[in-house]
Amino acid sequence: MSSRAGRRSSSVVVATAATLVLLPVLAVGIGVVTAGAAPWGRVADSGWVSLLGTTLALLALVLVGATALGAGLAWLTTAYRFPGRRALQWMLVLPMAVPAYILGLVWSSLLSFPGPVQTSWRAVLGDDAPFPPVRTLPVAAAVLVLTLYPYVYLLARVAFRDQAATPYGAARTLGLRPLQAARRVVLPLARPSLAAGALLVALETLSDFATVQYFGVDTLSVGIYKVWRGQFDRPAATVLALLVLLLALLLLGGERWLRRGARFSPTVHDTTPMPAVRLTGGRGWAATAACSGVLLLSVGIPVVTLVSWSTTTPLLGPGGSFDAGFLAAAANSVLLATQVAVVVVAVSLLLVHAARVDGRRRIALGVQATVSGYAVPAPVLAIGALLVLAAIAAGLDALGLPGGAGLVTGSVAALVVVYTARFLALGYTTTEARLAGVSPSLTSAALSLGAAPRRVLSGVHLPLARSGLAVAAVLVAVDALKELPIVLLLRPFGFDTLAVRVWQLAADSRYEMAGLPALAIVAVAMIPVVLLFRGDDDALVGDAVDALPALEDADNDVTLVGVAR
Amino acid sequence: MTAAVRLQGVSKSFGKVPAVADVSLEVAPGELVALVGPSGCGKSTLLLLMAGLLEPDAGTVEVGGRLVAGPHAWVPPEERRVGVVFQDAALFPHLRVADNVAFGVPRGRDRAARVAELLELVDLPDLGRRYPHELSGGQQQRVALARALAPSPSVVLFDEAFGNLDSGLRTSVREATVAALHETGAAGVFVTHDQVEALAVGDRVAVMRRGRFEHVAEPATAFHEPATRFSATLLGEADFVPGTADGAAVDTELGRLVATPASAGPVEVMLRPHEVTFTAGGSAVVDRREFRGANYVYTLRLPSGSLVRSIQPHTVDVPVGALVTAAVEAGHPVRAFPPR
Repeated sequence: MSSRAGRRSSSVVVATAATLVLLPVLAVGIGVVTAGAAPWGRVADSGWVSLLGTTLALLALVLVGATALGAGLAWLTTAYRFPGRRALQWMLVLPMAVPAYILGLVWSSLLSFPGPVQTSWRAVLGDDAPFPPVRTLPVAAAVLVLTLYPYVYLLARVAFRDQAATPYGAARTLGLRPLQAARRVVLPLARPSLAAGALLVALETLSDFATVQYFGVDTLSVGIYKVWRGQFDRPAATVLALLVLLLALLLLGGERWLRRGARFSPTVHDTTPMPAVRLTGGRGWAATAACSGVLLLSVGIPVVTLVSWSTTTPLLGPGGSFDAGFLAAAANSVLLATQVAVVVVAVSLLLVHAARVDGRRRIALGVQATVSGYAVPAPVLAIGALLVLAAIAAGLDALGLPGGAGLVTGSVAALVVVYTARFLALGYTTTEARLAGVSPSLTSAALSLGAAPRRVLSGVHLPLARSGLAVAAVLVAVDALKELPIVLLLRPFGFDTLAVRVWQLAADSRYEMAGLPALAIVAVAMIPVVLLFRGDDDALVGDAVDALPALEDADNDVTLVGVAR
Repeated sequence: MTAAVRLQGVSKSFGKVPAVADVSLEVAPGELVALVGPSGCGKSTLLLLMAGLLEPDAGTVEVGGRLVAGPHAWVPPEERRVGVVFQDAALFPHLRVADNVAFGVPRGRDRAARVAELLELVDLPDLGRRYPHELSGGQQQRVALARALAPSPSVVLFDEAFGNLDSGLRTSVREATVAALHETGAAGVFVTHDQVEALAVGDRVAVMRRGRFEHVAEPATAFHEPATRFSATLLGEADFVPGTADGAAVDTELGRLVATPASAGPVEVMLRPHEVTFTAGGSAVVDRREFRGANYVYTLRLPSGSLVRSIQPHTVDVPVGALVTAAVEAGHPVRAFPPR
């Protein structure tokens, strides 16, 4: 292949990937415009104002809670020493492995009227003792906080250690106590990172419509699901999706605004260790208890509960028959996750390669557009994809070709494509971060030695990116396994994954049946978390950031991913 | 008089790696001490221990006569009255220059006056409204000094504070810093890996290696009479020439030299290139010649095969391969070491 052809094909890859991400978003906008006024009446009937109010209230609670908890724990484990700190500081990322819809399932069961908490409450205080209502917005928010705070925690730790250690030390020598120095120096410096973490939390909250339903909380995303899956009212669902998209854009703008001061981030790599203060006696143990308590609520109790459910209802069903539903769902999950991982990793490698071989601005813009896909809430992506598929089906019908109907009612192939759009950012940033240590002059050297771009891909980029690709494959596969909103909206009739099964069993209050599939998801999701974060402090700084999607801004000289060593 | 800083038997390990091992040092009020050593020798760790940004594993630290770290004592950094100037200046990027300088000054009526006075001291009176990123590297370093001096510390610690500046600027910022320190009367401890800087700044020089002091002395003593071979080569170019001592002097291929300490038997004497001269004709050969602008550095191969360097003005133009006779013009006894 000639070098020019190689560049042309890399342009095609970048353009295709960017289209994959941007087209659904555009489709939502176009869909709303072309539908005209008709769906708005039905949207009004769905009570969108109250949905919006609930969404904003939930966002506010989760944002405040996750930021305070994540930043607080990061500060505690960075600036203080107390018993068990070394183990706790990496274990505090473990809640990432328990998806919100599983944590919500466990707690809504444990806190329900027949559950152990209320039962013992009545046993102690008498049968008529009032118990605070469980199916409420604050409880849903608490569940989301407990599973989403690690995003803020990880980014805050990186900021505290890599940017704030020396200024913090300087402030201390100038007469400030630890908390004073934290408020006056560390927080202002960490603000951009905290904003980035909070944005990830907000986008996850916006995407979720499974967890909140356990608690009877109707958000806009719940509205999308009900209007589409319940009434098959695609235009009304599209209008609601547009509202969610606008909220996401507002959040992105807010994050940009909070990061406006990022220009002053230190450029010199900070080598001074954080002067950690030893907490003695009761205060040390209180810190240990605080960290352990968070872990107990978010991982310990849920895992024990799932294990006990799994052992009471093993693979054998009630009549002694084999639980075929679980095995089928597991097979579907594995198949889907594997396909998505392979496709995402292949496209990620091509994107990384294209960005290195071809320095033109349009390539960089295309890659950036692809990476920005992480900011599109899952329901918006799903509804947009649905609109695109419907348009393709209509086109096929008009041409008299068969196969159109299957696209709209859902197909596994369509699922793989939409998952790919969703997880490309994760795959790309992971691969790119692993390759970041390899000097771009290596690519230049290969090209200057006369190697065609394709040979640079097979001979230089692929071997060097191999470890990054492996990590990306694991991360994407696990995220695909956990993914719920997209598969709920787009799955073909009768197609169950483990996540779908957990959610359906939970919706029917058959909690114990949900134990095994939920435990399977948590167990698999633990693998990358343990692999990436366990071990020394440096791993917490380096790999942790690689694992978070799309924190890299091509137009911003402060690249959070760039902090990774 | 009480010492500005006194370290006694201070040790600090990271995991199993000892960074500072049993170090003792006393810095007098107003004295400037340069800590010099290769990277990783523990000099920066020692600084952080004095500042209270690290806690020693053993030993005691006193600042201004007050025990601040020891087996049963711990005074946090904010209560030590120790100023620190970091390598990258570490100015607070979100605060203006004046607010950076005012950071450690208690709120009060005199605060603005104090800031103005310090900006005057470091010769940056008009830059108070600027942000740190709007300053050059040298200006940032001077603001960092003003900030560290603002709370009137009894000692200021400099962690490779001039390392990021280019060589021309480095000298002027260094001189301004020393002048400002003398004016305020604060003691100073400079960490550096640059021997020229260490010799120029310090009232005393402490040569550090693998967490220990090899030699603590006045710059001239440390340079001319280094305690160890390591000190000798760290502080300047040095060659070691074998000879035989007879208690009074040492016989070498460059003649009979008065050496210290006096000993008998085989020794090696340290010769620095500026102490070695040569004349035309003889049994030594010019092996290499390096042009350094104002000077040539000649490497001479002595009949025994030993190499010795001689620095000569550029007007002394001798080709490689010429035969010469080398001699020593030290003007002081040369340092003798036991042979290796």
